[in-house]
Amino acid sequence: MLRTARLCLLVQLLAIFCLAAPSPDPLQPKEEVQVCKDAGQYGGRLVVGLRAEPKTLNPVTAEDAVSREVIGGLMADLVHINRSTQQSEPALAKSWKVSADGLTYTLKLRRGIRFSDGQPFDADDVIFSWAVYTDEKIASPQRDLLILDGKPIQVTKLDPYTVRFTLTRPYAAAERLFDSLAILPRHILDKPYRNGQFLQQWSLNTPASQIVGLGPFRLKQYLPGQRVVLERNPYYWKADAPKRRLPYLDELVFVFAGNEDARLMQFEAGETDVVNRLSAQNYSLLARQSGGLQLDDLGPSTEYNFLLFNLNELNSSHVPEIERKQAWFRDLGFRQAVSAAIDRESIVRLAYGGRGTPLWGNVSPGNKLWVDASLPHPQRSVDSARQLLKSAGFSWNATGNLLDPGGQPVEFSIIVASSNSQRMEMATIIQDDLSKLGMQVNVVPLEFRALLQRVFQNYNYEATILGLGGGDADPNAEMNVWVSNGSTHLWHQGEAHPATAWEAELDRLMNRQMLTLNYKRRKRLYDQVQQIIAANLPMVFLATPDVLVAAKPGVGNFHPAVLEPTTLWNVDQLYLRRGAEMARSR
Amino acid sequence: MNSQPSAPATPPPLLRVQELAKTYIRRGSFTQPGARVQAVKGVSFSIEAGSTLGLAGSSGCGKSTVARCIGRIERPDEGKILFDGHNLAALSFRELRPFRPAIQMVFQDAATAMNPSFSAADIIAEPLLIQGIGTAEERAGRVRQAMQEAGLPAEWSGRAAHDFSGGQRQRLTLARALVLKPKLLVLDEPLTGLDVSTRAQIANLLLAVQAAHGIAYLFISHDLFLLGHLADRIAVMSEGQLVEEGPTSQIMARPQHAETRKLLAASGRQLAPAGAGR
Amino acid sequence: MKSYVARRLARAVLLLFAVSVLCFLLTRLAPGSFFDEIRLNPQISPQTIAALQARYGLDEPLPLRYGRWARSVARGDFGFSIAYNTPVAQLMWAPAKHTLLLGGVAMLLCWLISIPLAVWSAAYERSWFDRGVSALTSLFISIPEIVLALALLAFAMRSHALPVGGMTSVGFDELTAWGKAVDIARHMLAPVVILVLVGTPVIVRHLRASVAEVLHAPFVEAARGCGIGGARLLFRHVLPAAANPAISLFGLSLAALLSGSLLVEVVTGWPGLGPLILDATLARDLDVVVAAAMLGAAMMIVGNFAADLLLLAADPRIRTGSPDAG
Repeated sequence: MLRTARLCLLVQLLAIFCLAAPSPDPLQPKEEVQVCKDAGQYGGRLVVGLRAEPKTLNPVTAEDAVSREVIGGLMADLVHINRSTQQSEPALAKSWKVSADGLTYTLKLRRGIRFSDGQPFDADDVIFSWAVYTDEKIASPQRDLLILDGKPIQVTKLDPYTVRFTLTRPYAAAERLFDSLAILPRHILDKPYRNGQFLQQWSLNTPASQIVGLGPFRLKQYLPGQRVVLERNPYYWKADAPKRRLPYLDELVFVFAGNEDARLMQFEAGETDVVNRLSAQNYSLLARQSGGLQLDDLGPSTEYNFLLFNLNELNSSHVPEIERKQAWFRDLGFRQAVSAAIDRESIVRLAYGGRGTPLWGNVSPGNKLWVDASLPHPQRSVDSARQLLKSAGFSWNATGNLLDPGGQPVEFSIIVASSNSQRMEMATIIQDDLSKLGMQVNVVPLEFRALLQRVFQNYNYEATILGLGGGDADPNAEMNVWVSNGSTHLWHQGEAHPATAWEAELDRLMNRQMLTLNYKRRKRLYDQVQQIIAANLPMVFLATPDVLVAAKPGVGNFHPAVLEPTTLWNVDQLYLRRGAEMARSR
Repeated sequence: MNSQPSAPATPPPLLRVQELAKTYIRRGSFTQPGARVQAVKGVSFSIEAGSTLGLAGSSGCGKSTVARCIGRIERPDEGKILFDGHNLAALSFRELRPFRPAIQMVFQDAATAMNPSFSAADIIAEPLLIQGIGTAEERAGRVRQAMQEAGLPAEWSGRAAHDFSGGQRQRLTLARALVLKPKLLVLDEPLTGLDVSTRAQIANLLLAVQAAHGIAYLFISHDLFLLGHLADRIAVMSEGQLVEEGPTSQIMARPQHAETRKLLAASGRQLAPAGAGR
Repeated sequence: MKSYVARRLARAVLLLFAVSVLCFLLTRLAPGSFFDEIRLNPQISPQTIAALQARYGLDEPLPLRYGRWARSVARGDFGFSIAYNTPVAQLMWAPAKHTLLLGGVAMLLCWLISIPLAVWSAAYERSWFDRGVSALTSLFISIPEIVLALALLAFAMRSHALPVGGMTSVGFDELTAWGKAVDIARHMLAPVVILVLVGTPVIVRHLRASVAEVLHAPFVEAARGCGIGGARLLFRHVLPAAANPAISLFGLSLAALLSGSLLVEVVTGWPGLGPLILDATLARDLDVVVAAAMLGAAMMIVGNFAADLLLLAADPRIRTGSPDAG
């Protein structure tokens, strides 16, 4: 009966919009909704292309970017980092207070707001979520963030709408840790959690009604290999300027296409509304088209690509050849010479089609709050590179080949991920640039995981090109890259003690900035970090690509940001202009 | 060529072949046009009703082509095939149908000459079906009769062709040929490839069938010695032409042409089919 | 007959076991593991990665892992996908259906097109029709399928006549039954056309050759000599005799139902096993890869078995098991 009634309604609505999404629940007087500045129109369906299908909808176990992007539409966090300003701002917590010693964070939760199944949200959900995230047995990829000095951050409920987090030591910008930690519905997940069933929860096969969150959308349908359809969460806790409940969109649909070219084709064919992570080539392809597409070059991303020499402690089982070459790689003069000889402008021009920025340090200008703008940007100079090599004891033979102080010719290989055409391009440019110094460089394409195994596990490589970054803009996200015992201390993994004085200084500075609560003082410490890194070149930084996105002309409130998810960070406020939608539905 | 119509008193021969010629075009390639190979060049002979003409010749001389032209598997390029006063060479496939029952063929390799997926009864009955002869019952009767005549037990009719031995297969093709009660049987090397005792049995069977039904045979073989036992007259072919023709005794006793002598010498070394003779 | 099937079954099981051991070993020998990529994330500790690896048993010795995998096969799970945190059988079910749909339709069309083409060109050997078919089949055999796929995709994109990728439109659920069928057909068009263009020439060539061979066979000439001609000769004598190679070929295309379209699926974005297997391979979600290989092997066995049964039914010579009684 209900079905037929709905069907009749649907037929009537077919002329306007062919969607049967739940209409937003009217705002209730006691509901503490967040009011946004923007305004838009209700209705419509936004289709977004993803590069793969999500693997899970469980926010605690999800580790891949695609799953996290979909989950982002379903879930909400206590404190959110505004992707546009890169600052933290209230979310489910309407406010927070930090104690003077920086050890306690007291969060006031929004009252009267509900999960997507209509059940109320309160402090118990936060306590429950925290217990799950910090559970050692669950081994959530996000757990490590919440552990300070081996101890999880403690949370206590002060009243149904107040929670207090207690840290063992000060932690700069600790409120940023709450970003992307989805608050889970205790009423749904408590039982499976206690039964030890949590890991099996919220897979892609879970019925839509059981996946409940605080995000702007809720799951409607998953079609394996094809798409995930989200529909409006009628109880979402944000409203627009005229006090209407968000989101505007009836449906948010993710479709999957294996590679960027396929995603571009879908976009060009009008099957998707938004496309992000465009390559410069495809971006200019779109730019040549008419039709008033919204094309955005958002400027440099926070990703940094670098040439990495193997400085690891090798045991005897390794190829002695690499150990011999490490004598050069450990020589700062050698690394400086390499850095001086690399033509970063060419890399930007050829690998990124001009839509990128050369890098001389680890922080990209895309990271507005933390980049040290005073870092020197030395011109490319083969002469000074030769000078550096000469003073490091290198020489050239009659045919122009570079010889090390022992008289051996300088020759090494760079392993590159074969699937990454930009890094392949970089490698060949570097090969060419270094040949001008008389170095013989071989480029060895490797499948990505085979490459990672060499970099992380058996250290069987001489040099490689990798990229990092793209997560949170805060320096704390980079801790494990720069402290000497960090897990991503790529150039020298598993150091028990810093191998050099400058690495010891990096350890000191990174740990200090983490304890420093004042932004300006933190910034000064992190600037020092950047200077030390730029001077000692544990990685030879190359370039960062611009963030390139495009959307159909009809997508309103489209304000893409450099940080992920670039186009969907404000998906609750995106809307489709009426005329455009009509045109699309033919 | 040296075969002229007999005296007006005698009845006209059953089959008269006049100036038969056939040329094949060997498959060429994109660059080379196909080469023309003249297999038969102006062959003439005739067969009296109920008699056997042995057509001898070494392999490649064109004797099989003559057989195929008479059986109208091939269409001759030139010449006439006069059968009962009709020129078969000029008829189309469709027009030939009424004449098919009267001329039947038996091939050298019985195994490949029968549809491998058919049963013996199907194989024998197929020509009847084509000719639209009889009811199912009558056809079954004729199949049984033909099998009997060919010396095959009728209860084998359900067996597939490949279940028969080599000699039995040849009997099967013979039964297929006999079921239409032909006037002329074109036998293209029917005994080749069989072992000695089987050859003798089949040869005897052929003689018995001819005696019983008065069927004329065009018996093609490279074995002149065998033809000497079976044929009334013998014609010898070489390189597409008839080189010698005459009564068997004359050819065997006084071969005129070198080719005939060669064939005779070659077949003389073989064992004569035991018990095959008149 | 029963013992024949039993014998074949036993051999199939043995073969599958050998394939499974080989696949299992070979995939595990490949460098890299599922958790390599998250090592690049500075916010995840090696302890967490070690815990995850231990959860999926990646730290155990190979024989132990094979034993666990074999047990899960026995349960009907066919291994466990690390990426999707779910049994492989569950994961592969939907894509396998999509692949089967695509492969089935393509195979049907291939044969429907191939048989008349082959028979016609064999019956009218060296006619202009035969030459045309021969030239076209040579052309399509020599073009790699990837080129065909890209050309067709480019056409689909330029002309906006065909959807790019996927199996159903986003608004699929709101369509009528007929509209749904049309929608799927539109999405299927590109991959099906590619598969047909790639598959048909091979079948046409084989079929044409076998029909032509039979047309020259002495028994057909004998049949002609009996006055059998035209359609009766073709359908009653020639085609049944030419069926054996066609049946073997049919077995092969049956075997390729689940594996023949993988590349085309990846290129055209058909949500079948292709994209899943590619992703799983790149991500080192090894149980999925092994299961896919096993599925391919099983289909090969099934296809061959089906072909043998058909041959058995079609050809009395094989039925008795005695190639020659003489």
